[in-house]
Amino acid sequence: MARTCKVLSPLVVLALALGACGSSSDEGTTTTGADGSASRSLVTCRASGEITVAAAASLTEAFTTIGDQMEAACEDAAITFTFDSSGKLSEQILSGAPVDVFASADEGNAEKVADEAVGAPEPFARNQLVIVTKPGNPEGIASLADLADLADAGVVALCAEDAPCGRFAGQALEAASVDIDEGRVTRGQNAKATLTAVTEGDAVAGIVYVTDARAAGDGVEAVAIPEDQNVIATYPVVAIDGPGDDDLADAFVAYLQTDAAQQVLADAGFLAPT
Amino acid sequence: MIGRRGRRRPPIVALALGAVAVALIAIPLVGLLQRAAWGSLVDDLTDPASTEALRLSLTTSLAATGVALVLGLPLAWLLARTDLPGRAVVRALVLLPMVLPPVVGGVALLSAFSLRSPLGGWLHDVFGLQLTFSTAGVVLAETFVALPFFVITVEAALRQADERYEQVAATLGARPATIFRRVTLPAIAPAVGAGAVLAWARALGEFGATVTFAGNIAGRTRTLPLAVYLALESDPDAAIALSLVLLAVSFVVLVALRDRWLGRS
Amino acid sequence: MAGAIVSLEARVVVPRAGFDVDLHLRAEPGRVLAILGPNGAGKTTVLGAVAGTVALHDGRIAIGDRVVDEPRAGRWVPPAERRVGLVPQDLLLFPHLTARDNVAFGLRAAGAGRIEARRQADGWLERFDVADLGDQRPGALSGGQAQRVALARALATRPEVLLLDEPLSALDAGARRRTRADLRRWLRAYDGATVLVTHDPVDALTLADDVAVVERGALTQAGPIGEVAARPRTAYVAELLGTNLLAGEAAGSLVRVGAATVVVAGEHHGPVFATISPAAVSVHRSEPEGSARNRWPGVVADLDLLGDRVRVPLDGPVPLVAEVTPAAVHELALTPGAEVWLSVKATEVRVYPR
Repeated sequence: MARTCKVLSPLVVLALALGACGSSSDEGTTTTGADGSASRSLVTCRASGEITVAAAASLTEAFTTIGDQMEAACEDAAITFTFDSSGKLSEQILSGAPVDVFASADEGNAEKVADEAVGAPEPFARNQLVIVTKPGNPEGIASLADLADLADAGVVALCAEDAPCGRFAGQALEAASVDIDEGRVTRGQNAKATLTAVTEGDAVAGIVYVTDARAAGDGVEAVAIPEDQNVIATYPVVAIDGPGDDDLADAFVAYLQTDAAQQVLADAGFLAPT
Repeated sequence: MIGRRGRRRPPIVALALGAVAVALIAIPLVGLLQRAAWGSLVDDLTDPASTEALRLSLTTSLAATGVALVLGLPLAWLLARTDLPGRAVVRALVLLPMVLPPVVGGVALLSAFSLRSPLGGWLHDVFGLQLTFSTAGVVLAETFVALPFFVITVEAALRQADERYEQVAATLGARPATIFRRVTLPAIAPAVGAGAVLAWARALGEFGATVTFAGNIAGRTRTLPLAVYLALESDPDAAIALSLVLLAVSFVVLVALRDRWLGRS
Repeated sequence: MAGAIVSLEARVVVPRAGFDVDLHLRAEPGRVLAILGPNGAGKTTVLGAVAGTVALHDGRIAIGDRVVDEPRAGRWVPPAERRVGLVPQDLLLFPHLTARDNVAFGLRAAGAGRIEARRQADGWLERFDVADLGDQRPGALSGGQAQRVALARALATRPEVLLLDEPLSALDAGARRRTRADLRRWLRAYDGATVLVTHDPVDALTLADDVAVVERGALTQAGPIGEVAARPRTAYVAELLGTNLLAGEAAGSLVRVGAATVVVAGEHHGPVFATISPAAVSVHRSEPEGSARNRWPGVVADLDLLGDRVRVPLDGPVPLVAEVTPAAVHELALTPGAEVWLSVKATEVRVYPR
């Protein structure tokens, strides 16, 4: 098997671990990062690899950045993303969608696709819920309980009950013993759509991931949910037996554990996996 | 062929291509039928969430068709029969929702009618009217996407209708309103019917503009297509069952109206 | 039958592609005025102006003392208030209404109740011998029946002026003959002013009292039908009547027509028209001898069989159409291009001032 491997400049804070030829090739070279850490910054990519990564909508910004990093490092690697609710994505994968990597916002959906998966799901990030309101929080929302007592036309945006963010929101509301009348809940198909109902639409508030709130910038104001009510979502990633390049898929899964990728995820508001 | 003289056999190429066209539409629908969980169909459909979504879909799509009829008829007449300045621009404008992605249509409606927009804010402050997250908002979104289908159909018919009948009616002493009601309208009735059916069908299947503008609230704005989309994740069988209802209702209506309005054979 | 016994006076100025319609007409009550002219002469435009479906550019239309269109005075009365009955060329019966409801349409518009309007409509259908067709839709009517219903519909509103556009052109030859006779009777019974547009001289001769000849938007000859027929003043009218029309200068019994001179009977002076019936033109193989005073050489331009006669247009100093028997064509070996002589007796030339 002829493999084209390439060593990146140590200046590039990028590490591809256990890549396509990294562990099995003699040509692999270990370099030391600019920061001096002896991380596994071996960069090995096979030319003209193509993969499709299906990822939870909340990963949109972080994964786009990570994808750019990988494409910059790996000549001729093309990574295509499809972002939607994890529930929708797992359904699509089971229906035979051409996907090579699945990053879910919950463990349930990652397990659902076990038959199509290559290897076991591996946690790579965690996320938390947060209340978002219009900028300036005009309704003065301070807690989950306030969401149930909004003025007349106030509508709360939650994720669909079957999307992880919707299920987690339900758990958080239950933990806080808050019951919002379903007649004033608009259900977004995924975390992004839910956020949009607050940023663009007339939803007074919503419950989304911390990462979504951060991505929205000034568009919303975030109101923290206390630890005892909040839900920690664990994000697993798993390679799928898809039409794309298997080695590149493995490389992507592995890359998520590197310092560089973890930094991007942390910048987006994710917590490190336990 | 003996005994069938005078009945031309259709050209084989037309038959073949026509069959491909039918297959293109029929095969996915057959796939849906074959995948349906017939055993649990009754349970899926009698689920209150399903019946509620169906009821909401029917009422809002009929309301949208009604609005399209009341507003679209005069507009089509103005476009076809008058030489008001800027007609070409207005016509293009009215047809835009046909090419606009529905989600963008929803964003456009939000920009205009959300509580934070000047117009939406004014409607709310003065009339206490909120269109977003309301059933009225669903009707508005459906009308937005359905109206062009009605206008384009009726305008074409008005252009084709022979204006001289109206002139004769005028010489017989009839006023414009009488002429429209007793001469123009009967002449374009098939097109009005066809336009209304097209608009209704478009409104019934509306998803993107509705979910963006009116949200997805059970019993208020969750129409059948929204319910189908939500259910696809959690309960695909229920989603398919709901889709079948949508298909069945539309199919029955379209077949029933075909002879009457969409041209007799 | 008319609402009031009034005349129609119309000066119609309407620009059209190619030429302007600009003419003055007068139609008297109880009489039928035929507007006769070639296709595209602007005849239907004149009807439209009177009916109100075409707006005048200039001029004035008055029905009795009611001015219904006068741009300079800023006056315009919509069609619905003109009390003008219109029978368009293709009749335009409302296809979705029965014959009875077509006739009742104007009565209803005038305020009659549905039952009363239908009762009166039945009366009109009876008057036009189509009482049994009240329940039929126009699609089920023959051309002649539809014509009657259209006439009934127009007259049911008791118009002061009745307008007919090519009333017989949509009918086949047999129906046209029968309907022409009926139409003549009905128009006689109508006491308002009738204006009838046609390109068929037979319609004008059989149905009209007066005729107005319109060519390229202008009136070229008008008057009682017999007068116009006896003294055509344009090539178009002469051709319609099938006669030869010459324009010349008379001095005594000689009329100069171009380079030639025509000898005529009687004394005439100044500009005149001369007509010569084609039957009065004799054709010879060689220069004839005899009593005919007018003899000219000519060249056969064409041959046109018309019933048991052959019309022979001849080029020469005096271009004429001769009418000969098929036997004569054979004997004289007339073919296009053949050189012949023609002669006309002075007494066969009719002369009248231009």
